[in-house]
Amino acid sequence: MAFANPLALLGFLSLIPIVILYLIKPKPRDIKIPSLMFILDAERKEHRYETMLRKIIRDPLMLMQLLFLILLTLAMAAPFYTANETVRADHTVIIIDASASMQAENPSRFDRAKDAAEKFVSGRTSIIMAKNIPVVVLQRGGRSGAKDTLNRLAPAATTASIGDAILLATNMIEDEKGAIVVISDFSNTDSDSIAAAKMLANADGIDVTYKQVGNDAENIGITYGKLERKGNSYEYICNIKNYMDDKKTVPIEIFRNGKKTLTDSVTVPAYSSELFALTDVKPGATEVSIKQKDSLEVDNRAYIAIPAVDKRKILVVSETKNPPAKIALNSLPDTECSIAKPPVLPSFDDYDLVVIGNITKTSLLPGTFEDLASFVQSGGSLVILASSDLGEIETEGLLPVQISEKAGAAAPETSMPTEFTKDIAFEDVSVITHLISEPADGAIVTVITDDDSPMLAYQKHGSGTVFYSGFGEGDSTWNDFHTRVDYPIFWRQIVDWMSGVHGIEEYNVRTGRMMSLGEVQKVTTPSGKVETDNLLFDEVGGYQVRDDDIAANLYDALESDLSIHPMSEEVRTLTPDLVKADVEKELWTYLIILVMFIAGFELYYLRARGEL
Amino acid sequence: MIDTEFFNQLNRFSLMVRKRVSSVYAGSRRAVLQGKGIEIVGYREYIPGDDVRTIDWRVYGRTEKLYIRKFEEEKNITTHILLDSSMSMDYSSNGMTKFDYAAMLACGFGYMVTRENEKFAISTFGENIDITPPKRGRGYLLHTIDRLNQTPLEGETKFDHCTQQYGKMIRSKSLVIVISDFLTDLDSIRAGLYRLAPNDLIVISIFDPAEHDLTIAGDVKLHDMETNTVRKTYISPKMKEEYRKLLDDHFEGVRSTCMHIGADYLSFGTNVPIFDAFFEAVRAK
Repeated sequence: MAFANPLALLGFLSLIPIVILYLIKPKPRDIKIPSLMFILDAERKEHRYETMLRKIIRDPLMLMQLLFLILLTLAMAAPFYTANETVRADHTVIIIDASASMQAENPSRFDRAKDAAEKFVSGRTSIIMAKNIPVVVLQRGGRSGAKDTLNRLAPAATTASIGDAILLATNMIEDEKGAIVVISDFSNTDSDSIAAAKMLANADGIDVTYKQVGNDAENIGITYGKLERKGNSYEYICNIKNYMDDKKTVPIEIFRNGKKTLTDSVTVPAYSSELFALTDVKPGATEVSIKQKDSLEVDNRAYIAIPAVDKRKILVVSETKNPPAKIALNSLPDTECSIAKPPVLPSFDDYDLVVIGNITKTSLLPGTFEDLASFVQSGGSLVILASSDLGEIETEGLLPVQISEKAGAAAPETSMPTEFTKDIAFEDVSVITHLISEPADGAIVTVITDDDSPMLAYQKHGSGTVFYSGFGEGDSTWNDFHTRVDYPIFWRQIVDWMSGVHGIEEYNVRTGRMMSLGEVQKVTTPSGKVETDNLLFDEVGGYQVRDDDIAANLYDALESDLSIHPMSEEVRTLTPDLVKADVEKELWTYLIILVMFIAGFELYYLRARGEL
Repeated sequence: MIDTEFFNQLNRFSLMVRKRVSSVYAGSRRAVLQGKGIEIVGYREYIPGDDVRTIDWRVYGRTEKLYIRKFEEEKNITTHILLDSSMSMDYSSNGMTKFDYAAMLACGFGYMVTRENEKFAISTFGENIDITPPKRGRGYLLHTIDRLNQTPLEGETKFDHCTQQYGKMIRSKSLVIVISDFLTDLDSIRAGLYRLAPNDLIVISIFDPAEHDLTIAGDVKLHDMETNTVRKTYISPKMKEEYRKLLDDHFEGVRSTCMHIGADYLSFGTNVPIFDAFFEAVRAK
């Protein structure tokens, strides 16, 4: 046994006066009394315990006082001993699987995980929700804080990265005796990453133990979904998978902006899947719901969000009568394209996007670019296409590149993938003529030639954007881009990007995706409103971010598979005693309890004698 | 030591006992009872069973009817004083032992009786009783005082045993005065008192104030005065309270026994002036 505060042992000196007082205490007086019989009777009646005590101990009060001082001094010296035993950790990090499969069954696996977690709460507890990104919901909380947090937790509709959560937990446990408890259904988890993370934790001396919850459950769910534009509307295709061991005819209901518009059914064989297609999906919110009783709700609905896009007015300024660019722009949905031949041009303020095509240095009237600069500054979008004289035209600094000369063939390539370069093979474009140029200060280049001349670049001016395309407006003597199938796609993506319309997949996301909002904003989620600058789509349903409606779906065949591979019985019935360690067992609390007991007994004793 | 000074103060008192005397040498009170005696107080018709010796044949000669003579009984009442001389009577917290106090009371009664020219006897008792035959006269009183001054105090109080022995001494109804601290078994006291009950009985309990209040406290080594039992104990206020209760219960037991047998019960602390105590005793009688 050792003492944490050995100086306090000096308190034993206080015993000396007590002992001296005891030693110099006069002996009991000898008194002759005629009525001893009554004293003996009084002793027998009222002081049976005291008499008994006095038979054993000559001076019980003094013994109590000595004991009081001895124990108090010992308690102040804070004695402890070291024992190697199984104890609950100083700092327990509880990882709760928050994946979609944890919502299965009734009571849900997640509720069972919370119940199990309560038993592991120690003096210092951290809680991590293992979603596709581990989320720390409590850091070094107390017992009550941990229980409150557990009560508040709700499962997510994402996948779970348990391995990442273990690594995070390992980092959270510093130089202390810690333990990690993973509570999950361990259904289709990445066992390799979990095992690797556990080994890393073990290497740091941290025990990682698993607690498995849940049982096998049946499910039919929508495990995949995709939207494709078909003219002015979209086609939705989804995959309905049956995890049950018999064939099921699944009734399907379609809701359009909250109203049921269609019912259908799909027969899905056991352990198989069937496609279901929905055509002519218009802008707005659409919901595909399968009406099959099963153990998991989150994959029984697919949410579709298609943004309503206003018609965008585009002005093409070109000396050419009907350039390919204009043809491509005309073919785009939700656009109204007109062409104007310089020098007389309509007011730019009537347009959302102005495209400057093939022009000469004398085409435009003086002040035209000043008007364009004003148009861009106030939020307009300007596309300037390469032409022979472009380098000699004063563009009022609007051009994102500085053109030096016209050159011959070059090999373009995508230097920075963006929304508007997606799915377009610039490497396949045969460039015969191009303009050698350098990017202007602050310009962003996304496609570049092998001589480092920007082919696609853009730059912000005020509230607007100026975009430069080195491919021109579609001249075969320059390149063959306008003859390629992805040329209209390129223009659609450019127009959508410049008018702030994203791709349809930006409005229909899978759960688990993180969206950076740039600043803290109010976001409406399926379960309520939150304020955040980084939005994690962890619920299925409709979200509203700024003015955009976004649909989030699980679409995960592994999460929809609720089969469980039972782990060992020990893992299923894991109890909170986790860590085998050398533990300093403090004794001062017991000593203080004894001191208080003795003080209480002394008071009782004095009271029994009638001296209090 | 018995102080006889207070006898002078007692001249005012006469002991109030229920008796009538007829002889020259007897006391001055007339008895209401009839019985064996000398003076004829009347006649009544003979009833079978009456003593034939009492038939007045002269009257029979005149009246031819059997009449018996009725005599006034001899009423010379004897006072028996039983004085506790056990070891516990030697206790004193204020200079005067309980025995001295009790002996003065006893002698006081003896003095009063002597003044009435009646017989008295003061017998001391402890484990056994030292029986003294009743006599009259001042000389006898002085002799008794001397004897009491020499009486050794020893042993326990065996009240029942002593009254049993003394009972044989009392031939006719007498005045019996018991003076003791009664610090003995209550059952023994009750048995003794019941035995003396046929007489005119006065019971006087003597106690020392320190003995009643138990002025001692703390760690003490107590020696019982009668049994020599030694007890080390701690006298706490609670224990004192319990002790007083037991003591009060004990004397209440003695008092209620006296009430039951029609005896007068008096209790005096040794701090009460002896004259006051005597006055109280005589007044009660």
